[in-house]
Amino acid sequence: MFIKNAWYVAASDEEVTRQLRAVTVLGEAIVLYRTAAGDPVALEDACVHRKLPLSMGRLQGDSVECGYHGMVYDCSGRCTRVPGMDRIPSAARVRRYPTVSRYGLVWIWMGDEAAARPEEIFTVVEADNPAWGRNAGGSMTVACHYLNITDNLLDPSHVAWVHQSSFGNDACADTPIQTLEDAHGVTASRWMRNVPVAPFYQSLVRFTGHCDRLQHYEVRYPSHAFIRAVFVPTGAADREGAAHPLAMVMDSYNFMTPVDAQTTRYYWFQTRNFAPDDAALSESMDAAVRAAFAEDRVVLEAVHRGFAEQQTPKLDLAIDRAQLLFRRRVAERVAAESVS
Amino acid sequence: MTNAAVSHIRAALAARHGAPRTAAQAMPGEFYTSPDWLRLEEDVLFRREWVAIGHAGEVPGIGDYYTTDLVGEPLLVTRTAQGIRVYSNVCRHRGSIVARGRGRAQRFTCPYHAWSYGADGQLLAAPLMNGTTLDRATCGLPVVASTLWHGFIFVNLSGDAPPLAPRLQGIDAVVANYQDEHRHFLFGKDEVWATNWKCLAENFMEGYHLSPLHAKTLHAVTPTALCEKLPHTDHYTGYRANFAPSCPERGPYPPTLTEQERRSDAFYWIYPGFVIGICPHFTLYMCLRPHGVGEVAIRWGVTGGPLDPSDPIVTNYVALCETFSAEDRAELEVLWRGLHSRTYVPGPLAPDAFEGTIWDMIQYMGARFAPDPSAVQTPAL
Repeated sequence: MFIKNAWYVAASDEEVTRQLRAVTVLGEAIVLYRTAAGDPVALEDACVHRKLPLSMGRLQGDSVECGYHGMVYDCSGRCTRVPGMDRIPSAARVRRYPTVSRYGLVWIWMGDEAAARPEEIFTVVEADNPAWGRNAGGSMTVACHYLNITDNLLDPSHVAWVHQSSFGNDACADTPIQTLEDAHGVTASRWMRNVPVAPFYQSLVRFTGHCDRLQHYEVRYPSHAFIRAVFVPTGAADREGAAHPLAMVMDSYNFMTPVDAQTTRYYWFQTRNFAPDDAALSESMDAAVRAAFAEDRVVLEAVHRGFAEQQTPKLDLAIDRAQLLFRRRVAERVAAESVS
Repeated sequence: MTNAAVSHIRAALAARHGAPRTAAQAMPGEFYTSPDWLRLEEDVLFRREWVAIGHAGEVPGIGDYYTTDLVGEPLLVTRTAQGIRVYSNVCRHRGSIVARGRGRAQRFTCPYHAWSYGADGQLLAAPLMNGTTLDRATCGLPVVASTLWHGFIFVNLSGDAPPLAPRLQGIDAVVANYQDEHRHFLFGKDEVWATNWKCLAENFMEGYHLSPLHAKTLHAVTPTALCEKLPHTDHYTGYRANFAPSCPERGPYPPTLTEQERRSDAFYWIYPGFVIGICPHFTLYMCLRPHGVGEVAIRWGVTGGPLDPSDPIVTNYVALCETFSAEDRAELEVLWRGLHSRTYVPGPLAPDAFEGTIWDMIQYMGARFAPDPSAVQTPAL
């Protein structure tokens, strides 16, 4: 049901502090905290003794003390103290999950610890480019299966209807979408040629008149999306693309963490190839994205309920090609993990 | 046309045409170095066959145009509301060249005396010509027969070649999964290399050199040892270069590709002058034309699924192509010098998997040239 050997976002950097924080990832209860030196720690959130969540205990230095009988675990998950016993049972150990802090997010490896490689964390291509700006981003909890959200993030066509007042306009309705894949995921994309600039972007582009607009919707395993929007003056799509001197490029990073089969934590931020230090612009982009994602959330939660209560079969359309491909590949990966 | 070199080449082709594969020998040096032989090739092959001159994506919008030439014929390629049209790019007045370079235009005006032609090739205006015998209706730019195959523009100067697409149906079946309709023009470049046109075509089409010449580039991807021959006909030949097991996948690719297609490149030579390498993620092509016996004019390019020509996945692939092409170019320019040696005796060709394509080309040339010298005619244009 979930791909285990993968990096997910456990929390934002701000969410992981010197206070114990309980989260659920892929149905597994995890306690998060930060060492005095600032490193994020993720442990199985259940004392080996009576399974009280460790998140109900307290932090003692870099260790966690259970709130029931005072057993203490260090940040590797090893029990270092059992009150009233001199010898610590060798089985007194909770699972430790590898974590890495990157891009303002705490990433957690949910699979076999020996296979965890931080270089496989999703790459933010312009993270270190001073010419690019970034807005703070945010997170939300969506009462929806995560694959319904990856469906949405492989679906350039939905913006014409769900985001009519922001990212979309009529131009988004009819241009055919092309599907590609590689070892990392699936991409649905298209150039829309000689179209009006969509409302959200009108004040941002540095040219007048119609545009060629690229919609690049890419979801990589396990469930992370890279969405690139490129606006260039009409005619520039074929020759220069995003390298056009007036090109406006906005990349949206969307990280889905399945809480369980009914709930998903959704983390995001955007980067842009202009006005890197414009804080007011970053704030207004954050507000616009929040509003658009609230539109998505209403649809996604209703879709989840719709599937849960469906009376008649669903019908797939040509525009679903990339989504169905991604779902098939995820199922193949989950099956391969259960065999190995 | 008789001279010693041409006679020698005809004899060499005749000796090889229909010979057993086990006796396969390379062709003598004159085949590549003789100006008289080149003249025959220009007339018999490049004026009478379908010859690729570019990709439709180079003229994406109505009015977009580019100019090129083929064995001395200046050509104008433009997209009209009715599709792509190719014209003779020679002014009907006193024979200068009308359009230059590339761009977008509503009409094409000869810079010499300002005669101008419309997108349909018709003469629109000829200044101060009242009172002369000029009949505008008969002074349009001549249309050159053209056709599209998988997005590539082919022309036929003589105008009487049989339709191209039916000849290439065998390739259609092999490349269907790559979804050429979704491969866009991403990069194009003109070059002239100091070698015979056949040296470059043969090099593009044989896997034998991949490991030794491209030890630092392609050997790690498509080593010689894993190459295999693809079926050929009288009109094309091909081979498949399989990826080394250690080579990662090259994406993004269409979801329709089979496991083998994801892990190999397919190469075709559509005679005489079009070579194409179809990879999982991109297509690399070269439109070749002789430019004298010692130079080959190349219009090469890359098409592929990624939509943004500035995407690093595209620019990195183009950079790889530039790197291994530089290796090829250096070697082929040396090769052409070697082929002038009077002591060179053609050697045996490597097995089918590695140089079977060269043997196929020799068979093609044998069929075109050896049996009947009267087949050589001057085309109408």
